[in-house]
Amino acid sequence: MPFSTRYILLFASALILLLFSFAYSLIAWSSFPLNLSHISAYFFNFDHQSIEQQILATTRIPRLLVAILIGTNLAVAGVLMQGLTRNPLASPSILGINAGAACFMALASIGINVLGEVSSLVSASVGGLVSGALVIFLGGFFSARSNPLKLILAGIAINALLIGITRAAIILADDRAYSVITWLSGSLASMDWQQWQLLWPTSLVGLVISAYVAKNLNLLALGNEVATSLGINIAFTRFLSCIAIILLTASSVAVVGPIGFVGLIVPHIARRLVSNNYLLLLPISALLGSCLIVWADALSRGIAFPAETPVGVITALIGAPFFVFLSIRSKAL
Amino acid sequence: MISTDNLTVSYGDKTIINDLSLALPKGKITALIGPNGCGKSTLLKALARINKASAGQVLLNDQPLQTFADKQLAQQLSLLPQILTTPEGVTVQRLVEYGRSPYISHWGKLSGQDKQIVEQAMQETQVSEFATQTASSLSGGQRQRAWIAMVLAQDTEVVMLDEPTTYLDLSHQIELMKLMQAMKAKGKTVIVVLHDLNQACRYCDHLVVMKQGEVVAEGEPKAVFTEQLLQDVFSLAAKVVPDPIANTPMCVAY
Repeated sequence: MPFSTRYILLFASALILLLFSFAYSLIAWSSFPLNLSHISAYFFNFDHQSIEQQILATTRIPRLLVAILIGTNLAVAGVLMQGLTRNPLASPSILGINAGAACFMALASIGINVLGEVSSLVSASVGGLVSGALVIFLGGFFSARSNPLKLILAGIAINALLIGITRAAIILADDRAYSVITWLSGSLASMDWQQWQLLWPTSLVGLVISAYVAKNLNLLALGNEVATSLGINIAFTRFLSCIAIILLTASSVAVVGPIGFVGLIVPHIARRLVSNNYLLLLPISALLGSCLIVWADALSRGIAFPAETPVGVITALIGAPFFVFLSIRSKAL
Repeated sequence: MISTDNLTVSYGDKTIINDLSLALPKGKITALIGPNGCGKSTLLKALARINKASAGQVLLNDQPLQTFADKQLAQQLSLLPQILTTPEGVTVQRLVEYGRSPYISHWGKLSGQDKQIVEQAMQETQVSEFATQTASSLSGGQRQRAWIAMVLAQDTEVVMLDEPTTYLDLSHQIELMKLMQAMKAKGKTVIVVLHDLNQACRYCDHLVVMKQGEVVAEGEPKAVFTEQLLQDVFSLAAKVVPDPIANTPMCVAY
């Protein structure tokens, strides 16, 4: 039964792990030594004069919140994508959202501003939205008859095109190339409350839609014909899921840049823990995803302290070998 | 009762079923038979609103199918396709519970009555003992029965089965035929695609014989199933003799 003791234990341990990670991430690897008492003071006895508490308030807390939400978003988007295409290797990046955001960002840096004078954050979000919609449209994914494979092929084509344009733009960008490349590796280094404000509303909408479609994805796994016969509207489910994936991924990529592997690996681990029930898969993936990003962020500060390593590099370094391990172990990938 | 009214179904430019008007008897077992590629499955999917009609319409109790809401239709009509995707990690119990989804609101849970129906469906198909095992770990025959339990749990007036006996050994095939007769006894209309013509004659009340998207004969097995028909539709030289037990027509090819 869905909410047996096993699952409750699993969720509880993931939550505890998460809380420890939060506390650790708040105080670890700071140029100003921080400890747990500063955290409790921040929450219960805030003092404007304390430098430590100011650091927490202006950089550490927003950075942590963004990391948590990014992890959640990417993992949930990955679960949706795999459920939607019934392909365990599909990841949100197939929709071209990362590549689209990167492309618009890179174009903006060489002065080609499709949208006029807007912040790079906005142009990255729009880039992600446009390319995601384009892939879905070309893949014919809104019609119930179409094959998920068509979507993946459209994604590969659009991705290749966008990456090509991005590379050309970086070469032309010259002196501004460095900042674009840093963004392209995915970094949480300069998070403040402004990024959090941009991130949470879209994420919230995306997560609510995801919770809504979870049940339909369970039935979609039985094949289109059975799902239809059980009263599921395939086109509507696909539409909602795509909207959720685009919202979750585009908002994340706009704020921190593309962070790979989270959307691919976390759903795989979660599937092993709670089987193929999307009602459980989504929350556990969200917890694991935020754990992963919070830890990867702490590592990204520690590895070459006091310099910062982009967090996307860390997730790729953890993710790639882990994925190889999974594919060797798994009989039915 | 389910009927079609000048129904045409096409895939792209290719018309599979052309201008078909057909009425299938209520509360009976109807078998769709015909050679491979004759359009049986296409017709079945059109009757279940999985294939859209390109012209004409399908009527359920004189009401056009397209006027039903998705869940409303799923409470009256179920289809078990020929090729089934059994997801990893789904237990038999959960698979059968999915059959109740048309009756549950989106955020709702199974009621006591739903659970009872699920239990009964598993008993009738003899899969209760596998309830906690994953469906993908079962043998082909057991898995097919678990799927049929899901359709039983859906508890619809019209039940459509597309070659449900394909993966079953002979004794389980016969059990399935008897299960269809039990559904009929409960007042359900069963529409089934079968390849075994003798089983179709013996266990079904009504035959619809198709060739190249057209219905060439329709009616009771005794009236329809002749040596001439086998020659015309299947290009099969065969003798039709009475079945020694049920006295229904039976063919022996030569």
